[in-house]
Amino acid sequence: MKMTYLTKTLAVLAVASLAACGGGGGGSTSSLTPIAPKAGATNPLFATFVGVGDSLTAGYQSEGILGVNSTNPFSILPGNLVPATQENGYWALMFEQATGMSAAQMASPATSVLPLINAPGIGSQLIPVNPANFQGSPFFVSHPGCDAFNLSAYSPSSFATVRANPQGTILDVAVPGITAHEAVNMVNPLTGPPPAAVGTYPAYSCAPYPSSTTDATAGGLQSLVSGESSLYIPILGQYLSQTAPQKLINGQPATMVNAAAMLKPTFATVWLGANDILKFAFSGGRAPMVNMSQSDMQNDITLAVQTLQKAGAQGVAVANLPTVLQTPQFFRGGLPASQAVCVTQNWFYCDFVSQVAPTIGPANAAAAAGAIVAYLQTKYGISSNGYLTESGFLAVLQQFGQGSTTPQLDPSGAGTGLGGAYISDTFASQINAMNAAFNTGIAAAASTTGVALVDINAVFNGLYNGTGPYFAQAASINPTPNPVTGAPFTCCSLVFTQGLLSFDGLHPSNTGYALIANAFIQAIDTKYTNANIPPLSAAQIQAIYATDPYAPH
Amino acid sequence: MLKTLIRSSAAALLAASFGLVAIPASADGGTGEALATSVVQDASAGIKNAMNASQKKTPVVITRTQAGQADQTMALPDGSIAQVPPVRQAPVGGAAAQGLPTGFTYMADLSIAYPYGNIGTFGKKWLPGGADADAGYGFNPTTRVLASYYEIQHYPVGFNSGTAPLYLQGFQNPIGCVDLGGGNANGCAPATSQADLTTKDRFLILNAEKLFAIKMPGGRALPIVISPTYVSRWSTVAASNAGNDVVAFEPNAPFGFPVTGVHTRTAQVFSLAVTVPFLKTSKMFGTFTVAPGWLTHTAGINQVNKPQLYQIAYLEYTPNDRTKFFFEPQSSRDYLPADPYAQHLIAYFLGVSERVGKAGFVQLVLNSGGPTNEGSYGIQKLTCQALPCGSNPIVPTIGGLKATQIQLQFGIGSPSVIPI
Repeated sequence: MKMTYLTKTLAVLAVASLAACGGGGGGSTSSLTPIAPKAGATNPLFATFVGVGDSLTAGYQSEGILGVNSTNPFSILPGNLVPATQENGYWALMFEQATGMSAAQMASPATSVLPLINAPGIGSQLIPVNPANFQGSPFFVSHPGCDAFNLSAYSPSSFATVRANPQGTILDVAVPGITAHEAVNMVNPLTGPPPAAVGTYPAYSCAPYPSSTTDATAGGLQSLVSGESSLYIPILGQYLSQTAPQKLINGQPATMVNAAAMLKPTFATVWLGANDILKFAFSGGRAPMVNMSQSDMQNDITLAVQTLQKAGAQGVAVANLPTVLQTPQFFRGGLPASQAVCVTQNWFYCDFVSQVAPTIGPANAAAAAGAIVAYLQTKYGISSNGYLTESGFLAVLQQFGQGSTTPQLDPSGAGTGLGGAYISDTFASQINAMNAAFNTGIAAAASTTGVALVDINAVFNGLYNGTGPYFAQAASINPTPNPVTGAPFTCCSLVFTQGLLSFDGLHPSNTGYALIANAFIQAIDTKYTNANIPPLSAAQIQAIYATDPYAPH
Repeated sequence: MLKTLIRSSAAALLAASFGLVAIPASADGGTGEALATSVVQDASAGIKNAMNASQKKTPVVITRTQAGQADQTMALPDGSIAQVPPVRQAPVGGAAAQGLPTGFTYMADLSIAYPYGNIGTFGKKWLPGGADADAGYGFNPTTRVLASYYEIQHYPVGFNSGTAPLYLQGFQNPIGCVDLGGGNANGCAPATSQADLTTKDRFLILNAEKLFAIKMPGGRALPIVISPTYVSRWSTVAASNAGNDVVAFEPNAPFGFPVTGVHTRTAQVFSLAVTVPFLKTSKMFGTFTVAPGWLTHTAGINQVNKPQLYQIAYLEYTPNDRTKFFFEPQSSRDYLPADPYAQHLIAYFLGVSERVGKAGFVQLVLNSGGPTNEGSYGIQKLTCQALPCGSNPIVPTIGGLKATQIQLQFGIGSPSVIPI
């Protein structure tokens, strides 16, 4: 069955939002060649600077991870570009600032410390397209998430072709999709590949993992772990034992944290936990990590940090989590108190109006938005404390295009759309409580291990509420009033497609990653007085913004 | 779409089925049983003989101190411990003993065992037979060497009964549960195949025995036996496809990773057993043995080799010269490659042996034992290494091994208390 382009985008968002954020105990080095300091590294603290984390640390963007620039005939970016993602990540930027490595070196397979993924990339990277050619959808995938390249990522034998630098010494071992507990316990891909694509891009379909009447662990659970499973080997491949895939080449269990420890880091960053919340959220609370507690998170982060410290890390920076419902993956329900809040916050009402007003006029758009908001509250329990997901938002747009102001978001009966399409007020409160508890656990782990805590949550809070230095910096990047949204600046904010997040609404844009890099640098420099990492200057951030495909210009 | 899939899976989880791929055995009565069998029995017999001899005022050759005094002899004074010598079964093949058996002694038997306890239906059958043998040589009533080989069969509880949570490797919380018995208890998915945990431990024991007399206040002498001992044990677990004891297992945190390629029930131990008497009447006799022991080397997830202390009490009642009842409680230790720390075992033997003809015997032994420092017995949880679980390895996490069974032995020579 062929899917419409918008439906296909929705499906990609629904699945890949799990798979993507991302996609796919203290060891000792016995057979690795010692890591040589990278070019320009003059500070011994950063002689071996290792990144541990998930898609955010891996440089995931727009539902995909890609290490080299590519092209796609449908892309409306200059030169039909499908932009590389990895070298735009905060960790890459921070590494460059700390060591003096150039952006060109970071992007080159010959010198990069990133596990650069070959084209077309893993995942289904969303690219901007001409909506007229895609039934009104402004985005489409650069390639199917179930194409041969994606499927090959699950196999060790394909490692050399999936990676652009299969022989490189990789210092960013972050595995997109991985949870905090998986970071210290997952020792192999947790599932094999899904069924292959049917049809030819762009007219293709991806079938889900088949369920089984005799084995309940087939099907949905496989989808839940497909992201970290597809990227486990591409990221860690050269560090895995070929004779015993569950072991690293030093004989230790092949966890991501053990791989980082094997590298004998002098400094490391740890940013984990986002997927624990997101898998809980997108599964409607049905994911098997629903009861993960504050102490569980604290224990896992503590174990990760202590493993790195035992391996020699003189400094570690641990980051907490943004309030995930503040990201533009989630469209807040209810009516905003004023138009002003829509400048910095992602409200369904405002986004809907701005999307449809050019077609039906502002008054009709507002009326339709009001009707839909009321229906969402009555039908799905979404008021100003609830949310539509990006998939839900696009589904509402699609159904409105078909004349409906009573969107159907439960595909298989009442409540079945919870998590995938919408977050009710009640469920949102659970997510926020988990979010807060995890941050308390992360802070406790940082405190007990004596490492730097990067308060990303405060950064996002400031951006969301229009306060603080990071908001001031973001709003000054392009201070020209935005003619489309009516905002007093063109860039940048947390509003969907307004510059700080990529098209998936979860992973930062190039500009967003630059601000996060500065938050890390600030925390590291404060905690470790011998760090002296220069933050990205305003000029550097302007240069990044200038070529940011996800930011409005 | 995703949420639907997940919900469907969650609902269907109750109806799912899983096959157990590999099951390890971990520990049970273990090395302490071997010490009880080989060391305690002989030491007790030697002490009793010595005490009997003293009751009869027969000069008993007891080395008082060191080699320089080896020729000195003494007779245990009246009333050292007991009043009337008990009847004992003389070792077959050796000279009549006044201390430790002298000359050549031997024992050989064949045995079968039947397990008890909550082991489901799979293991409820007579276990495969075993064989035991020992041969010793006593140079004199105070010095003896002995080589023993024992096969101990058992079927531990908790592997084919009850329910266990099912985890996915790397997940904090269970993704389901499995009814190990193949049913649908507590709504858990039935295990479609059951693990065969029939376990046969094999012990090779080499020990020397030296009988001493410690001079007590009042001129009495207390006979004791010191037994330097070497125990080598290995095993076969029916769940091992290779016919050995290499079976995958997953320790609890802080290890928390699947372990493969480890001989789970193979170890070598040195110990130094000291046996002293505590009871002697005309028909009853008792000793107490303490035996500090050390592994010869660590293996598997066993990373530290802390000395362990075995403690074994032995009490026998001999109503006539052909029959013997005995009770042997023990606090033992097992420190196997699958154990991050030693398991503290409490076990007992309760049995009766009957002499048949001049050299034969029949012995019936009820034995039960299990660790006290493990939260539960048998399978604590199952960890699926990849999805779907039905077609990927599922590795168990094991609590302590508790086994109870009755063993029937037919042999020649002098019966030992053969543990299960």
